[in-house]
This record gives sequence, C-alpha cells and structure tokens, in this order.
Amino acid sequence: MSAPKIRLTAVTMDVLDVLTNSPVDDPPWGLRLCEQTSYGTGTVYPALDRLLKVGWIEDRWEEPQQADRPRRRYYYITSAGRAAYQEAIAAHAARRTAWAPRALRTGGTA
Amino acid sequence: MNAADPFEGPYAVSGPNWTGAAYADGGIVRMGEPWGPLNGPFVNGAASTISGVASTTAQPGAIQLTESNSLGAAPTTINVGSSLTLTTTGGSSIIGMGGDSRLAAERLAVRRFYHWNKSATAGAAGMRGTAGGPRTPQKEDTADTHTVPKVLVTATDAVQVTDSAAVQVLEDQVLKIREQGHRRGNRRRLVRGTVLSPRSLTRVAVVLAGQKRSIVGEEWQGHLLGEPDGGLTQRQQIRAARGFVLAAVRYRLQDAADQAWRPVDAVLRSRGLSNLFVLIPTVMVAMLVLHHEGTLGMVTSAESIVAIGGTLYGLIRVGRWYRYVKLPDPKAKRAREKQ
Repeated sequence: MSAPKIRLTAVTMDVLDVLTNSPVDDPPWGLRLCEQTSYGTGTVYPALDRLLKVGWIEDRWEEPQQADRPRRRYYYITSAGRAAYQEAIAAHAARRTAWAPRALRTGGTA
Repeated sequence: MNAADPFEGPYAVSGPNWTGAAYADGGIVRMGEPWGPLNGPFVNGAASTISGVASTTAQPGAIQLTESNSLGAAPTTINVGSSLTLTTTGGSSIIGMGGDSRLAAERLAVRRFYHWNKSATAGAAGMRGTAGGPRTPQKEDTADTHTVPKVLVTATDAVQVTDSAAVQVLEDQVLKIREQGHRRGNRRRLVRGTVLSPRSLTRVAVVLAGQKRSIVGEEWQGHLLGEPDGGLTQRQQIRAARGFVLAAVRYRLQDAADQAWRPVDAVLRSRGLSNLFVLIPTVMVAMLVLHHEGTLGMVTSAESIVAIGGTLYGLIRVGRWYRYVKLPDPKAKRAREKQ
C-alpha cells in the first residue's frame, strides 16, 4: 500500500529535497534543515511533523548520546515517502503542463 | 542605567550640522532609532564628535567612551581591549559603532542607510584590531532621500554596493528587518527581543506542544545549542525559540483540524455513509414538499430537489478530492470477494 498523500507546499518540498539528497551516514537534523531550507523553526518543524505523521519520513535519535549536549533527532526519508514524493512531483509537473497553453507545450512552434 | 551594562549612556553624538544620542548595549554603541534619534542633515567628509563619560568597569570587550573623540580619526582605540573605528572619509557619516565582545558575537547596528558610496574604500565601522579595511561599508550622504529597511549586520560583515542602493550582506544573513516606527521606549525589549530567555521560551513552547510531543523538548534544546563548530548567537536563539512557540501553536491547530476532519473523513471513506449524506436530506426535502404541496408541488419543485441532491453529491466528490480519499473500485472488490 502506498503512503498517504499530503499537500505539497514549498516548505514540504524543500524539506523533502534536503532529505532526499542527504547522505545516510550524515542525516540532517532540525537545525541543519532550517539552515539548508532557509526557513524558520516555526515552519520547518510543523512540516516535519506532517511528514512523520503520513510516514514519508522517519526519525531516529542520535546514538550514542553525546555527554555535552542533548541528543539530536535525525530525519530520514522512507522508501514509501521517496516513491510518493516522486509521484507527487510527476503529478504536479503533469498538471502544470496540462494548464500551460499549447504553444508553450510544443515549444512555441505552433 | 542598566546594571548589566554600565556603559548604557545616553551619549551625546554630534557633527557640524547634526546631533543625536547613542546608547551602549551589550558592548555595542548604537545610535539612530529606536536607540536614539539622529537629526540631520549630515555633511560629507565632516568630522563628528561623540562624547560621553568613561566608565572604569573592566567588562571584557565592552566599549567605553572617552570624553571626546574625533570620529574623523581612525582607528580610535577606546579602552579595555575594545576599539572604535569610524571614518568620515569619502563622504560618509556615522552609521554606527561596533564593539567586540568575547562574551557573545555582538552585532553592529546599522540604523540608517543612504546611498552607498561605490568608490569609497575606507571603512566606516570596524572591529578591534582593524583599521576600517576594504570589507567595511562606506556610504554617501544623501540625507533622508532614501529610506531603506533597517537591518542588523555583524560588525565583521561586508556590505556590498548594488545598483539599486539596496544592501547585500556578505558572509552572514541579514539578521533582522525591523519594522518602521519603533518607539524609543521599547528599545530594550526590541534589542533583547523578548523578556524571556530562549531556553525559557523553548520550555513554554514544549508545554504548548503538549504531552504527546514532549520529546521535542530535547530536540529543541539541542537546536538552541547549535552545531559544535559554531553555536547560535543570542539573537538567533531568540528567533529560533519564537519559532518553537509558533511550531507548538501550529501543532495544536493541526491536531484540532485533524479532530474536526475525522467525522468528515469517515463519511468520505464510506460509500454507504456518503450515500446517506446525499439521500437523507434530499428525501426529507422531497417528503416535506409532498406533504405541504402535494404531488403537483412535488413535480414543480423537482428541479430544486434534484439540485439539492446534486450539490450534496458534488460536496462528497470535492471532499474526496481535497482529502485524497480514493474508494476502492466496486468491480475489483466484487472480484476479490468471488475469489
């Protein structure tokens, strides 16, 4: 069964882009996601929460815990999330193409 | 005077044709609204004077003002490891003074912008140990003809000239675009950002987020500490903590919305309930019409009754599209049942 769909906002897409392009051995955490997407904490964390809820991403706590700071919560994109995101992007692109004037679709030769 | 900052001021600042007031805050002398008004017009290349009472408190990195300093001479080292570098070369006038603090990454306030002088090379603001190098900004005095958003940049940032007289800050993000019209009475609150510390604000946000999401407390506290090679500045921490509060409110709103959608989703996901949602009101209206107006009334109102049913069915379809509800194909379901 495929992952549930969610409404793809610009924030969600940016977060997913970062997660998709992050190496597995160096996953992003909240602060890095905020830095890389240039969105504030008030925007990024609710987006992460929504993605976690629908199962597009998953979280893991840092292991082992560092003594001098709180544990970090790392985020990973799941395979279902990756597939759903690709599908959503393709659908988004198809919708845009469908709405575009015929001249633009044919490269302006019509 | 603030006990935490014995150098607060105000210090009188003046030039040939202008006067103003400056305040020290966290090791930075700030001038211009909302800290202290500057009254122009400013004169290109003119020396200006800042005067204040020197403090003897040896707070590391704090700027201390001597009784009278000519701002035309640069750099001017003031006291206790702090420096003040101001020049008026090339038609610039005072934009602010930066101090270096070892306690925190302090910020230089640039409160008023004019045209930035592309040809100028000398600095208008600098840090300890620097003499206004090429990385520091210059501006051309065109008085009040251009009102540019007020921004804060770090004292070590370079400000690049652009054609549209806009200001681009290199090596760091623009920290804050403050709204116009801040009152001087709010100076402390505006500078500090909030009466709560970032940690306290984060704790409030965690409480707001609710017990279900209590794990975000550890995550957010870690966020405030930043990366090991460079923690967040106080201002960034405050901004992050405010964001946590916003995130907590959004969590709650999302939870409330989820609760509100639950009965709607139940109807949308069930073919039987969807049918009932359409049929019950439609049949009730038809029966009422029949009861009050008889068969003839029923015939004349048929259009309206059909419209009601159609509208409700349309609502179901739109709702399914909006909520991404896809019912299984009945033929496939029947085929599965046969197997």
